[in-house]
Amino acid sequence: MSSFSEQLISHQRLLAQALETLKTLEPVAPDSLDGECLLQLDNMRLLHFDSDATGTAPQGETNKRTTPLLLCYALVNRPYILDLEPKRSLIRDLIDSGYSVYLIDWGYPKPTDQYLGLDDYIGDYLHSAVERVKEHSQQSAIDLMGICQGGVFSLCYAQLHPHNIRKLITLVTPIDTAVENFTLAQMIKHVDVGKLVRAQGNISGALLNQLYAALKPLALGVHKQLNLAGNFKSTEQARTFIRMERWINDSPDLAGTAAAEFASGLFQQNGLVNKTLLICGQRIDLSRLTQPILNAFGRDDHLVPPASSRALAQLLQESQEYREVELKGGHIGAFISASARATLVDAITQFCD
Amino acid sequence: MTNPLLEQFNHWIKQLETSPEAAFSTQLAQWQSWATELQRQAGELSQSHADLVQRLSQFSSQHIELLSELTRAKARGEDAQEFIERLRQQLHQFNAEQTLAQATLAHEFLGLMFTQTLGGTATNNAQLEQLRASLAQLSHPRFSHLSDFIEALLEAHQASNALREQLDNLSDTAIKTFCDRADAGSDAQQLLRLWVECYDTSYRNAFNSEDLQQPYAQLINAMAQLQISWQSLIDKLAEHLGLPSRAQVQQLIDELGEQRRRVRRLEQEIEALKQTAASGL
Repeated sequence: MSSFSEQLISHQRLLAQALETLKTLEPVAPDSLDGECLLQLDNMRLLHFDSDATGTAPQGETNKRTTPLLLCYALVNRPYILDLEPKRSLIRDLIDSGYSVYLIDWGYPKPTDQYLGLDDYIGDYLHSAVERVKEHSQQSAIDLMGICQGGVFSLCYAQLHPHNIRKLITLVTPIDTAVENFTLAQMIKHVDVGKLVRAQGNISGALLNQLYAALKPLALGVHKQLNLAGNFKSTEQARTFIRMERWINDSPDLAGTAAAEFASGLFQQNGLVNKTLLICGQRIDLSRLTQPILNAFGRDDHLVPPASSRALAQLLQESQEYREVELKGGHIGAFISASARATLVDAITQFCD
Repeated sequence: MTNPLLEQFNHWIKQLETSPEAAFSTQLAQWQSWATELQRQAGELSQSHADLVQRLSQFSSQHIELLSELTRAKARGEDAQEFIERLRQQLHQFNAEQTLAQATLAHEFLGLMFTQTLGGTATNNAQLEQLRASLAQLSHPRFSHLSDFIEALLEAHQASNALREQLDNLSDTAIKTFCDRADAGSDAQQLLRLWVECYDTSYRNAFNSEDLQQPYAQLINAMAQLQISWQSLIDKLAEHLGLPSRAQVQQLIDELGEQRRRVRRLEQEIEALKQTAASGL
């Protein structure tokens, strides 16, 4: 046990170190790759990254893969978390492993977009992106990876257009919303989402951020702030911290109709488990999926508990090719931390071969 | 006070009283200079971080001033109790201000469980009674929007109280767990980590039950109803003034959405026709 004065001095040293770092810290610019925009449809952009984007990717050149990989991120938060900076980039890792990577950027919905529903996002935007990837890569089917909410979109899409998808990867994806400790689902279980959307129009990104922070109110609130100085021990650490904070606070609003449909259809009705989710007039029944599936989840994910993601296995046909990979990390750490990323990319590479 | 965190603060304060004064004064001076530096640096950070750093450093300045007075009083052999009480109040106030500055969802006010200082500032009982009394005078249909709004306000307040009650229960559980697990030999960092873990685990466990799910959702629903009632009131005023109402704007947005879908369908049909024509050539 250290005495109070020792703790005080230690804290002062940390503050002094943080101040030294801040004194010399230049404005922190984004360090994401510039993808080529292949399609823009309203707010949605389809971006393409290959080995040219990273400059040097000798491994990628020698292991070039023919089937392209399309990444479908969630509507909440921005997809640049997949390429936060060179040392924390799933996209760069995938390129280095030989993939031609495509990414959907959903953009920032405007107040006039509040009527956009899941049919628009999955049946129109996602479908248009897949068609454009097929055309650009000159392949008849592609591999699709959905992250979080994007995983739900990808599962639905794979059922609606089975011939377009060769293999399917889901990452930290909510499936069963009735599992224990799924706090986000429990928070909105009895919320009148229709009324909320009538009141708000689009659901504001700021509100969503507060909702996520409220999942662990002390750890993500006061405790994080008390330890703020500890994130500025070095310039490199400070840059990463600022980029992460910028990303965390860069939450687009959610189109009202889509938000209400997702909250009600997936969370409140547990739509994937109870087979009540309707997309483009079709009932989503995961047992009808035919594509091989790799399901990756974060061992310490507090936002989407592993049990929720792993429920996917029970909803597929027994004959379905299905693999699971547990990643050491939480909802974001599962694809940001170096060790988890290495495990994930390795699993994807083996799965897609 | 039975809150273990407050007890920890008390413990620190007692340690302060027994610290060698000379060494402590030096630390205070250095602390003061860093607080000034933080104020200067804050303007160069992003807005959200700058706000936080400024609040922290402003608080530090007040805190340092008080500690200096306390040190001087001790040097003069005077009773330090008054300063200790002021220090405790400052800590409470900082915690409450931090929470109020950030909270927009009701449960985020849980930071106030550390203090009762600002607990009753949102709406007091006298104001609520006035609102209830005014409802009786607004029975005429021309006041229907206003009375709907007041009813929504009262309902939101009731829902807020119901949630606060559950959060109090949750705090009790967390404090009990903390007391059971806290080790007297632990240092402040260890105790803080333990408290965070105890609270967040109790919170997550509580959400597994309808006891917390229901009041939480009821508050959100009540707040949404309050917002709808307010908008309805504004719409009525806009109508009287001949201005476009939110409801009319909403109708235009809906129509725009339908038009967009029609255009997309036509674009897709054209694309399909182009492909058919191309494959036929």
